Amino acid sequence: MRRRCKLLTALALCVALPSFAAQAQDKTLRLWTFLNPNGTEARENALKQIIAKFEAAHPGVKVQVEQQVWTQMTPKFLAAHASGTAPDVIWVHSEMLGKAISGNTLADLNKLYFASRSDDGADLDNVFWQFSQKDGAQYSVALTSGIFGLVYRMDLFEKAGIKPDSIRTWADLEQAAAKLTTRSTDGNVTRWGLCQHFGKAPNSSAIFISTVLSKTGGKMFSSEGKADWANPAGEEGLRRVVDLVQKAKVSPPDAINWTEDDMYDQFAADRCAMATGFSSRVARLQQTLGKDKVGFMGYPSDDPGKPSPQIVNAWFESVWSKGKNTKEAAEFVAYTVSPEADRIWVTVGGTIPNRKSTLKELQDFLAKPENQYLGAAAEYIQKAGWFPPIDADIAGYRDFINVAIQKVLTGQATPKDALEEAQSGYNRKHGFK
Amino acid sequence: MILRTRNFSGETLVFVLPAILLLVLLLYLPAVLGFYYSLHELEGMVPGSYSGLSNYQAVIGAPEFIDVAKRTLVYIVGAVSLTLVAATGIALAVNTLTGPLATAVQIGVILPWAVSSVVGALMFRWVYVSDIGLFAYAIESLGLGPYRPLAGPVSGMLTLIASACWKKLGFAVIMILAGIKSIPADYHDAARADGATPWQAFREVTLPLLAGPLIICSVVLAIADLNTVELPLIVTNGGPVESTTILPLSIYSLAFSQFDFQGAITLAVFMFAVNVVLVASYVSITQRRATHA
Amino acid sequence: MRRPGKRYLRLAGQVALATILVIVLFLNLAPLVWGLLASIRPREAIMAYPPRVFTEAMSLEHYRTIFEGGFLQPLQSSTIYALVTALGALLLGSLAAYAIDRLRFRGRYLVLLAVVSGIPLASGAAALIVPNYIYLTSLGLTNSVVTLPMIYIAYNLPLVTWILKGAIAGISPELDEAAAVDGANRFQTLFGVILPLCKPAIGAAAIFAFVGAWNEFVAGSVLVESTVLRPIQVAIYQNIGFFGRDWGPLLASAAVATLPIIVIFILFGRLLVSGLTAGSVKG
Repeated sequence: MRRRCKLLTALALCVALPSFAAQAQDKTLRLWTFLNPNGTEARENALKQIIAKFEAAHPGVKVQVEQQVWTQMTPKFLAAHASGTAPDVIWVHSEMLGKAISGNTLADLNKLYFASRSDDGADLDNVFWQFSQKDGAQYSVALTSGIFGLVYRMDLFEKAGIKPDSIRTWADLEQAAAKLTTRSTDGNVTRWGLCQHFGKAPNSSAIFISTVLSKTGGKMFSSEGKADWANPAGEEGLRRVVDLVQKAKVSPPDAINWTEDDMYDQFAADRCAMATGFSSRVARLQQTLGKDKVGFMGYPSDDPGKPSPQIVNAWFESVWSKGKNTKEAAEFVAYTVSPEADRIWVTVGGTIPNRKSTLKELQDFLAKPENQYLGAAAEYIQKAGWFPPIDADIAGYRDFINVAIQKVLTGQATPKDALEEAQSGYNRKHGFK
Repeated sequence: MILRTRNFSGETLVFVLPAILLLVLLLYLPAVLGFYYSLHELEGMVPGSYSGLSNYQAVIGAPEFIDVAKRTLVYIVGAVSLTLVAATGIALAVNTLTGPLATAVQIGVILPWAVSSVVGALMFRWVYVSDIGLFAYAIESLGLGPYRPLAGPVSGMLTLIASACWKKLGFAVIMILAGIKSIPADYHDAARADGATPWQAFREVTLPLLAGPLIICSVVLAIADLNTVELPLIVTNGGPVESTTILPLSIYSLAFSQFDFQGAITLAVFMFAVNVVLVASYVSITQRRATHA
Repeated sequence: MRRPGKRYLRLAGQVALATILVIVLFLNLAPLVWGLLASIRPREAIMAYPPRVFTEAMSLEHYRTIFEGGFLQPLQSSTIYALVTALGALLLGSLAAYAIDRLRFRGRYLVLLAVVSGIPLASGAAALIVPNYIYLTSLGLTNSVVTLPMIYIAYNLPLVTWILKGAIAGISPELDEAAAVDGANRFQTLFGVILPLCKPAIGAAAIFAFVGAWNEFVAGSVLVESTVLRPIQVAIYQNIGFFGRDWGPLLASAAVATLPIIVIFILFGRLLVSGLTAGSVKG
């Protein structure tokens, strides 16, 4: 009898212990992103697959996605950090990354993961990787990266006999736009060659920025974030933007009230042959217009064949410094940029590859016309991607620039005066004299 | 004779306390907290060093502020007037209807108010403002010239006012209709029997009795217009060239475009103070009317 | 003395009236109808120019998409939130309204002012949500089942109280006295005698509270985290994501979200006008 009791107890313990152990190890990582893993969008699918693979490889760790509204996500994270309720993993907006780092809200991923894996550094090294480094610490990995550039209709280019790589200077761009602008019999434009958007928010004129950056060697701001665009480079940029509308008449004047979303609507309505867009928007435009109809290219400069610098953007996935599971969180973050996950992001999610190795491996995939934009954007980022200095708080500069453009377009100010007003307004707001 | 009770009996407390407690905890304390925030320098979202009224100075003393305030005033006066006039006309018309037809028309009028505000604003913009929208297409097909509602500051402001009217019309119609229905029908008939034309009867009899509902309606509309963000944000995007950037939009831009939460909270507290003034004036007006009635 | 032309004048007047009403309704509803039509078009056809009201291309793909993406959950959550809000606001509001109107106590005017001042606060600035968030988190009141109902009741209580006060004021105090003579206490008087006479006002107040809770966005996006607790407006708004406006799912989800409101208006709409007639609107 006693032996049987002992046996039963031992059996019971054998069964119970592993489940106790499993429960003890069951960790839940809270992840804040604007993607919905149950959604049907390409990137959401990719995230779902990556999470599933991570959970399979790490039994006992679960990833719980709490979808947020993207405009509120980072401010809310900073507030949650103060209240002690922040999530384990957070996607930080690039414009607030500096604040997040200086507020000690993010953990050092080198300490938690990357320092022990020396082979990853070179493969992952790019402008985004460097942007989230400070004083030897690595604070984030970049996801869903992209760069501003020209979204264009590949079929219209073909029809007009224009080869995309023939656009090597600003003058070439204007010529191509003129060729692509179609008019009806009464002189009204039915399709614009190059659509821009000047409505106030949230992104500003890429052509202006490209001109200033290329003419000043990347100096639009001081390292503290003081604006420096009321100069000949700025005036040239502003004039170029306005001339496309008023002199060359290849760009719609209505754009003075367009947000970028309005511009994309116009592009989707077949009213633009090119548009000053962002690389990650191409996929959705393809869904509306046709997979092999939408491509991407960088901005030219006055130097033939040399592209102008342009702003890049990404979401910076980071680990909360005060989280309870920082080690597992870092493992997850690192996994999302692993070669395996990177491939899923590209092939399923349609995003730009993070790793140089992925770029090489997926050459055939990227050679397809519907994926042209991925390779083109990746190359443009490598050649000319530009980030403002991370410590600089340059929030809101776009509003000032857009208003300056609007003023010049409506004849309310000369380029010089408009730029000076914008610059002093911005500087005053940020506390610079 | 109104039944009297002792001041602050336990009974009174039970009746009033739950509501007051909830309002204080969830509406007033956060506002007070917001005020506290506005008196300090924000460091990483939490108040740091005390800065007194300097945030208010920065926000109200900014050169743009006067223009924003002026535009907001123009917008509110314009939107409220337009909505009141239109709503009164429609209410009078609906008053002549009865039964399910009356209900159907009321529902038709109030639907824009009941729809999600962001989507409603987007649809208004798409149909009435966008150059590839239905209205633009209709106007241009009829040969009535290019349709550019956001071409200049005046047409821009008119467009914004029109969108506010569109959104709030139903609500105003309901309130004014309720006011009309509470006027005994004999008054109007008596006036007509005395030989007055419909317009005279309206002006001399109906309108004075509608004064109460009209005042209330205008205060409620003014408060709603003062606090609505989606319309200036989505319909006109503050343009053209900032001519429709009104106070609520400024606050929103400060917070979510410029990430200047300091300025946003300060301006929001200021706006709340303006709101309270509006409400207090409404309460005192209605209290005075009640004692005079 | 009937002039023969008067009949035609009356007829002309009625036709004119009808025409004006039709035009007003058309202009008023055009954006909503357009949104509905666009929501049943396939993606390629939504943004077509020139815009055509009638097309052969029809598709329910967007409705499928949103429900596959889990739209049922916020639909359920918001229904519960809105119902609880209506009931809670009615309960607290009728108590407060009765006290303000019938009970003479010191500070009565102050309480009325405090309650009514809440109306603008409730529609107030999204910017105050940051201190709100930190304050509520410290109280442990965020991301729980009670978070949004509590907030929504607080937001809609002022308007509900104001409407109910107007209705109660229109009921003769003699009824109170009669009930007191019959031995009823104040609660029994309120719930047994007064409120049953205020049905239209209760209906109107309930509608406003329901719609107010249904259409609220800011608190719903900031104060809760988990997917189960998210209200419907946040779910709709997610279609205006970082990667741009996805018109199809956006319009489909907005259309679905409007349905319950339309149903409520059809069922209880006539209460709106009569409920406000009872006296509140006179002030």
